[in-house]
Amino acid sequence: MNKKSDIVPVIEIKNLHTYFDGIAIHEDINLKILPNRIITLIGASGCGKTTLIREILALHPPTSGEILILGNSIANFHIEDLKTKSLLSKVGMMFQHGALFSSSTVVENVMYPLVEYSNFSKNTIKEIAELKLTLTGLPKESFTKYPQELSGGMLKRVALARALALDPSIIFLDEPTSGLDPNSADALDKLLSNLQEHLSLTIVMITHDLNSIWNISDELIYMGNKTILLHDTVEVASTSTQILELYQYFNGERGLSIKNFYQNIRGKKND
Amino acid sequence: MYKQTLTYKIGQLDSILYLDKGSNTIFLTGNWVTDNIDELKLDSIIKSFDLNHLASITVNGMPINQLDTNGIFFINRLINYLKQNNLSPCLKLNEFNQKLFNRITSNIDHLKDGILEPTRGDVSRENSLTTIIVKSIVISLTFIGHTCLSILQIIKSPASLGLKEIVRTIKNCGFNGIFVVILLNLLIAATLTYEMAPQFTKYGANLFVVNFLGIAMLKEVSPLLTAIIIAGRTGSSITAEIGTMKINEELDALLTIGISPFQKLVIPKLIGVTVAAPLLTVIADIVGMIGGAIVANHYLSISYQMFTERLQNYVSINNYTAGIIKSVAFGISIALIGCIKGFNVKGDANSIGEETTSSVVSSIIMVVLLDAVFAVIFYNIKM
Repeated sequence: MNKKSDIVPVIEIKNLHTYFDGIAIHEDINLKILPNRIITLIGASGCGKTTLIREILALHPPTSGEILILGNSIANFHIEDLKTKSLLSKVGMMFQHGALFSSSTVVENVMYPLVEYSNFSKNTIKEIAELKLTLTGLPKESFTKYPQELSGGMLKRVALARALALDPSIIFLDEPTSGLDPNSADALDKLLSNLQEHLSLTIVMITHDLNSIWNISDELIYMGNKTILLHDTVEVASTSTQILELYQYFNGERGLSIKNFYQNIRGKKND
Repeated sequence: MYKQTLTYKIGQLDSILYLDKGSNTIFLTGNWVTDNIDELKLDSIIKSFDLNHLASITVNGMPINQLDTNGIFFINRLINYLKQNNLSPCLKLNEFNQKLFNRITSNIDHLKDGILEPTRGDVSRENSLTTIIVKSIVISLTFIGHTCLSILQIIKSPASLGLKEIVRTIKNCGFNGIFVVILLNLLIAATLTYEMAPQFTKYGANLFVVNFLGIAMLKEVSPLLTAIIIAGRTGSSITAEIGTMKINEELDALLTIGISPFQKLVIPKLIGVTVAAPLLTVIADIVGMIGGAIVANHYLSISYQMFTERLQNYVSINNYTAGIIKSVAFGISIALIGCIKGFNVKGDANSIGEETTSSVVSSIIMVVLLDAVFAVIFYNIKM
């Protein structure tokens, strides 16, 4: 095993500040995300989780500070630049509401990144796209449908398939399990941890689903007060008493039963 | 070092797989990842393998460095190709990759269970011209019916009228459009006068340029030009706005709250545009006369005083009234068409573009048609 300092962090954020019209969103955020793990970003609504991810993806310029993806600064990202493109092909994003291209079919949506980045023939790309869709559990009948004809849960699967199309090394997920039935949510959790393990992915997700957090998260980042208040394992975070809101998050009425359930399972495993 | 990079560049693909005849084994090496696989070369290498006289074959993937799902897709394709050649290949991968391979290929096999049938062909999207015309007439009539019902409702309870929305439309359509209207009408009137000036001088009828301008501008050009500007500026924005709301399910949200989209969206826009159109036409008339007067003063030596006197005495007020009446009708038709096209938007982003274009084109055609109808009516009632 390498020493911790030897590993290049997949994402590194230094002294990040963000202001919207003079209102502070982020104040002095410093963050290192190491490869090969699932990281969950939590925090109250409106604390800037989505903005942080948008900034990492260079969709929104930070007011000050530096963001590095796989060791490359995104400050001079330029979409026509080949280096930027090759870096973007290593990153996948699943938007909260899918953000699928409404005038293309489901398969075409997943084919988009492959057509842009690979030199495979059209048929191969189509087959790969279909494979990715099956991987996320979307029924075959839906492949040729248009996004507006799909249900919310199916849209999530298509969005995930599109994010996975290029086998990226980092995937961002914005509330992947929200709006899914428990069976689908479990399946999605399983799929994510499976893929993470097999493809050495780094997954960064925003979620409010406590089951997902306990089930698959390796690390937890708690945002509040315009900055990152805690970055640790789920166990530590769930027992930490320093931040009242975080304590309530895991030890409130909802949190406690789930916490007890998972701690029970883990305790048995350790025995 | 130099040699290494060179082989990497040139032989990148040759290093991905090769057939070792001695041990009946295809060795897979290097990086089987998306941006390292050149499908054409890969296929040609696989096709070039001499598979005759082979009793059994092993695909040895142990030396693989990096593997991703797209790499597995191609390995699976290789296996299938070997199977087609009546071989039963045995695949060797390390434990980790084997797990991934099984996970992914179980899905590929699953894919083959059924044949994909397109659920929505392109045929269903094409319609014959007659159906389109009949459909659009039905849609328009239904729409006008709904609008009339909403107007009745508003007459019954005037409080439900969205005053704020009306004012916003008047501002967007009227106030924000003033500059374009002034610019275009001033220029058109000036150009018309300038180009007609030699004709009038030829017959020594310099003063008749005022009659010409009065009738042409007040009755025809300024209402028509203003209506076309409104169709381009406001008609399109109404369609895009309602279309976007439809895609965002905002219209459905209004319905579930129990608010009629007609009452909330259509009526304010209808009233707003209908008020703004004649107001803009009045401005267009004024700047048109000013533009004409300036050019007449310069090239036909008609003094401003003479111009206004002649305008008052020889150009009937009916020309002006006719223009204003027309502009009201133009305003109503542009607002209605804009709204109808907005409601026609279906689900995708393309549709907004199509409907917006169609909104502007239909509005302009409708305005010109109405203009012709009005010409006949005004002629018959001697206005």
